[in-house]
Amino acid sequence: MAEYSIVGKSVPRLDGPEKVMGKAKFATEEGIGLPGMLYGKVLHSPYAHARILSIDTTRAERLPGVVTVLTSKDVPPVRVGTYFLHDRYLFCRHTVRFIGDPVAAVAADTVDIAEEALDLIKIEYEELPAVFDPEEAMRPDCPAVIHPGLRNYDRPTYKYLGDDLPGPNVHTYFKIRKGNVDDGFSKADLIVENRFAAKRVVQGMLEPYNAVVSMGSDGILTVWACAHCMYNRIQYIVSKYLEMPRSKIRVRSSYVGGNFGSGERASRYAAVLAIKTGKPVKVVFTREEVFIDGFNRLPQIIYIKDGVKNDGTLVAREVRVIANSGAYTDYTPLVLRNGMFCFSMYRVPNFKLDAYCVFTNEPTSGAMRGLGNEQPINAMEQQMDIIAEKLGMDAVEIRHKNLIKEGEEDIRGEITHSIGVADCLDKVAQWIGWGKPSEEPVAGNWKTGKGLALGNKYSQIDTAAAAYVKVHMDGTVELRHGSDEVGQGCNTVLAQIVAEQFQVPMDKVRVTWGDTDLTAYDFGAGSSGTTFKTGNALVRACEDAKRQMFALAAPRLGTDPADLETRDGKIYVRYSPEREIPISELFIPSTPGAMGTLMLSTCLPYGAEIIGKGTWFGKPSAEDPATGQGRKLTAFYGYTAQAAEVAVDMETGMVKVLRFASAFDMGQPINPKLCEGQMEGGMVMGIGSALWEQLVMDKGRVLNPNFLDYQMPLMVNIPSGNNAVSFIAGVPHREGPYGAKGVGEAAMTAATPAIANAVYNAVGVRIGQTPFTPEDIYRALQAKMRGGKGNVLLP
Amino acid sequence: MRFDYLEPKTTEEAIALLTRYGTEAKVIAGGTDLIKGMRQKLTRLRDVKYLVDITNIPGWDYVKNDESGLTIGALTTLRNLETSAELRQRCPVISQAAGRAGSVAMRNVATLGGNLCQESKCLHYAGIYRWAPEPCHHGGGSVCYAVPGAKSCQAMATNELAPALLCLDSLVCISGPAGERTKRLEDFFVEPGALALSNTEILTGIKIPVLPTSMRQVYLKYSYTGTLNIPVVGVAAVITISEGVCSDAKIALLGAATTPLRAQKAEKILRGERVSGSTIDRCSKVAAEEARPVSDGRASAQYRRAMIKTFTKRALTQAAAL
Amino acid sequence: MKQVLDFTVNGLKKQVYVEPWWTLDKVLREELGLTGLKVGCAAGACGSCTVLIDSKAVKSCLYPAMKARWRNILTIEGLKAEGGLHPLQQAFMDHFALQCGYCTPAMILIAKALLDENPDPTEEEVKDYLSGNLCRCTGYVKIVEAVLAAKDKMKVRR
Repeated sequence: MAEYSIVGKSVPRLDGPEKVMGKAKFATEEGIGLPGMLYGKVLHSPYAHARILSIDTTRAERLPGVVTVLTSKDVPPVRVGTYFLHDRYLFCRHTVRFIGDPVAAVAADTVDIAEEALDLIKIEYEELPAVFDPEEAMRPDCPAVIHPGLRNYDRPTYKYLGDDLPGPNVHTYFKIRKGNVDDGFSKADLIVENRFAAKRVVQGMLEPYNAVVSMGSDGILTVWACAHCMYNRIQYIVSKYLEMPRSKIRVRSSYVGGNFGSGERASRYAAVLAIKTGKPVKVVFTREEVFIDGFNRLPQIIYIKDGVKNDGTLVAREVRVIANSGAYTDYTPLVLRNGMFCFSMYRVPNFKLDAYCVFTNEPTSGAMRGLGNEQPINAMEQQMDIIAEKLGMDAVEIRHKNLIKEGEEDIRGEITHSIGVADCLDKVAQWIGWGKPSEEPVAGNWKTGKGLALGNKYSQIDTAAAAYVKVHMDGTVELRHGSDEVGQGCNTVLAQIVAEQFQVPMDKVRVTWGDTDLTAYDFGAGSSGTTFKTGNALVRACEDAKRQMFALAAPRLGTDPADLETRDGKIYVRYSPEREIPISELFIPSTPGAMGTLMLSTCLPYGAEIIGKGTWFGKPSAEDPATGQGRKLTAFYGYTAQAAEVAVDMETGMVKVLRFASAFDMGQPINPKLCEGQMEGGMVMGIGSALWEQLVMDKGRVLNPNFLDYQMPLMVNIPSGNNAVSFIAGVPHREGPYGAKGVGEAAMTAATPAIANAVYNAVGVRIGQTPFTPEDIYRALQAKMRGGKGNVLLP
Repeated sequence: MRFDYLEPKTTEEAIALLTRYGTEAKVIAGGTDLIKGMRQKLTRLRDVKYLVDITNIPGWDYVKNDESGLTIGALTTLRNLETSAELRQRCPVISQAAGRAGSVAMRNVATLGGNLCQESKCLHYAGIYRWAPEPCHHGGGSVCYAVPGAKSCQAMATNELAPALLCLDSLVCISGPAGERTKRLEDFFVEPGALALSNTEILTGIKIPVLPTSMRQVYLKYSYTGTLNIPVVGVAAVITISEGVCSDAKIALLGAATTPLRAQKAEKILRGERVSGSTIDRCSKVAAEEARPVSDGRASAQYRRAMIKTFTKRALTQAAAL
Repeated sequence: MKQVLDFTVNGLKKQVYVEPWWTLDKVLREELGLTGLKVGCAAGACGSCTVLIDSKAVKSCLYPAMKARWRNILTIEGLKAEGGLHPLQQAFMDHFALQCGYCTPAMILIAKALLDENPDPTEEEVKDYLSGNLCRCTGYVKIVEAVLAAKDKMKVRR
């Protein structure tokens, strides 16, 4: 790995002081004390599937303190669904499709009055048959058709979503074809088939959806929101629902209290209420609302069939995925397609995949950390262990045998570049003591075991980022980016890149973000891509700024611009560094010969400011809709290996994670400590998803929409200190800024199968569903004791 | 959520307020359960307009040991119960139970009285406001969403302190318009949410008339991630052993029935027997058979039953080893 | 009707008018502008609203404002030490024990409550005490590291 002065160093987070002092501003701080601000609340449907017969808002409107009550008749009849399939009205017009579907909103002087007004809205419903199981819902004769008008919906992107959808509730059908699987299976010595499934899981970020929107007297709508993807998911959505041009919508954001793909829901309601009332409106979703009317992780049922040779070589793989989209699409068409990228990690000459995304009357699924990859990876990585055991092979060995290498074509037709997963595998295997029994002291009813798994996460290429760099007179460099600081530390990382470009210390870098009036388009903090996309855009912006600076400086230094460099706020001649001028001298007093205070009015002689502009525009290749093949379908892949040592209580099924190792190939790490933070956060999210986290559903009802009954890992549940380690094993990527790739999502993809494999190693049971709770493990153990299989139990 | 906040300074004042406002008033102590429940719009709390804060009434926040036994004021916080040297010395099972409830921050505020009088934690009940036009049994209706067809509320008891107090043959002290009275704790829990406490009465304390001579006291809470969760099951065991023979055994369970349950059949198995692995085993089996758990979205009935057996066995084994 | 509430916040005597149904989190954030504490769930689960009341950690989202009368409240804004940041604040920064920062003020305060009660906790005791505070970003590992580091610094200083 190359050595740099700031890139690659764990410099302290720029936002550290603000956050430890409690001064950091989040969207929840916006509007406090703002005179005349109103509070908005949303009314949600109590039925999973029903027709709206009538809505009577008169009593609500009459409640003192209520300013407006809105329903579908008060807003343009526009359907918006993020940007793939436009299927969702702002307020349900004729039909409610899940318990939680918004039907009305109120703006009032206080939150309490707004809440009371919701109770006064009288809606008559006629219940319709509902469907909750996706395999049932996808049938051509399913009695509940959730979107009868599906074929007429506007589909602006991803037009490859098949025309051959098997049933009226299927909205996406995605295929991959490579080679000939029948041929492949005929050549296999062993065929292993299994079914895996996952329950709904949520992002669980601590800041609930919230926004403050106000319409300015100049006709510009300002939307303050806890933003994730300011341009794509807030500005775009508000613009479409309100039929307002994007140039009249200014989105503002500050620090975001975690996002993990959850998007934003409150801003669209605050916006429509602000426009109708002419006042600033604040909408804060309750935690229950975030659970129920948010975007949970897309549950997938995965049928996986592998054919292998006796030496462990994979010869064929066939996968069928049925995903439960819930009542609307949001991100799910992309989640489904992109979730299947994870299979690219292994060499499989014959590969067939059919993935379906199906509407049901359950809460809407959307994007969550991993974007649909964790579940196929869970299936694939448990499958590898199952195969290894049947062949009498070591689990590490079988993976090494089948991992794809640099320069090889993968199952999607891409040529692999920058793949460090083999090294990651070795690092965690070594640390966990692979092949040696556990040395952890445990009491009699506990059995220990070790397991490992690999993971990966591509990053989107069909996207773009644009950024600015402004050089101030005193040499301070200010970067302006349109991505989101959701906790991952992008402000610090991007500042490091810029500091490296200008060879200045971190305290000479400023970061401006969170304002669409000041920044340029950015895809946003998603797809583990900010370092890569926005970082690349900034590198180009830095080069542009330097070009401007050097053009101004060259005549002063009597040389060619190409001979100049910059460092520490000075511009110097590369081959004769004592010839230098400070950046400040590029700025000329506008009153020549002035002295004293008139010296302050300095300006560049031309070009207004030194502002560099840069765009990174991903250039995807074409993709064949019949086979899912393309030459360049991803920007890069981050790879990981995770290994767990667990103890299982034979009497209760409880699992304790004793030790855990993560290793990650993120290319050149820009800030190693921040990378570790992603690995550790991913480890814990993965542990939760493996063992305890699920939305407990009952006929479309979410029974546990709160942080007590939805059990995220607590501090006592995680290995710490010497029992948790994060290895950095990056392989530089030729297209990344300084060779960097990304970390965020892959960090949780391998944890679940690593734990599943460890549990199997400990007690010999494997459960095909996540989470595998203590109760599930207990039942499997009981079944095994009674002579049953105890393996891959159906959920 | 809107209400008036009343702060009586004496018991009489508090009772007068409860009498005056009837079902529109509710006693609040620490508030961790009540405020949460009101925000959730639990059916029984939806009409509450007056909160009667009893924490300003002096004399209810104490642990006192005298000739009449051990009395604990209802306003003693769970944290004080957890850390009280007096309790740790005399009735450690109470301290253990208190220390397993929620989190430190919650225990700093939550009280003994509040824990015993807490609202139902049934997942279906908490969600009714969002989706059910018809109230369930607990809400005054006639349907059960957790166990379809059930003729009465089936919510599992979750009062963390109850099993420990039941094992100590506790009495509850109640003040009301008619004066003071005491009642056996097992008669206090009538059914989910129905306490033997009228709207105008206040639980003022717990009395343990006869202190246990045995320090073989254990409380075990079983939940998936930690003390923050509602227990899947909870087991308190207090046993007295002399010369290897169990002269007395008290076992009480959470997650076993709609009220905290004294496993009396199980206790009989152990009483008078030599304490051994096999007697404990038999006793635990009977405790599991005595239990009437339901599947409620947190855990299934069968799993609860199995865990009652496992944790009764563990509690007894640990208690015997003390 | 609003009622007067007299209490001390971060060492300063305050008098505010509150609706009887307000909880302390709202009063501190919106009446006094002490927005370091956050509301994550309003149900006493996540702990982002933790403050210290008479030196004890309390989840302010479930604490009726009226109960705070005459009490001493400490929020993150009141946490100081000789010469600037409290050792816990410094340790959280030094050890990268924060990411989005939403849980951070509360996490620092609950750690302070622990160390005030028990100046030399073990790693397990730290984890147990802080388990009423959720963090979704960091995976807790660096938080434990930071609290143990702060403990050592504070032991030296005592």
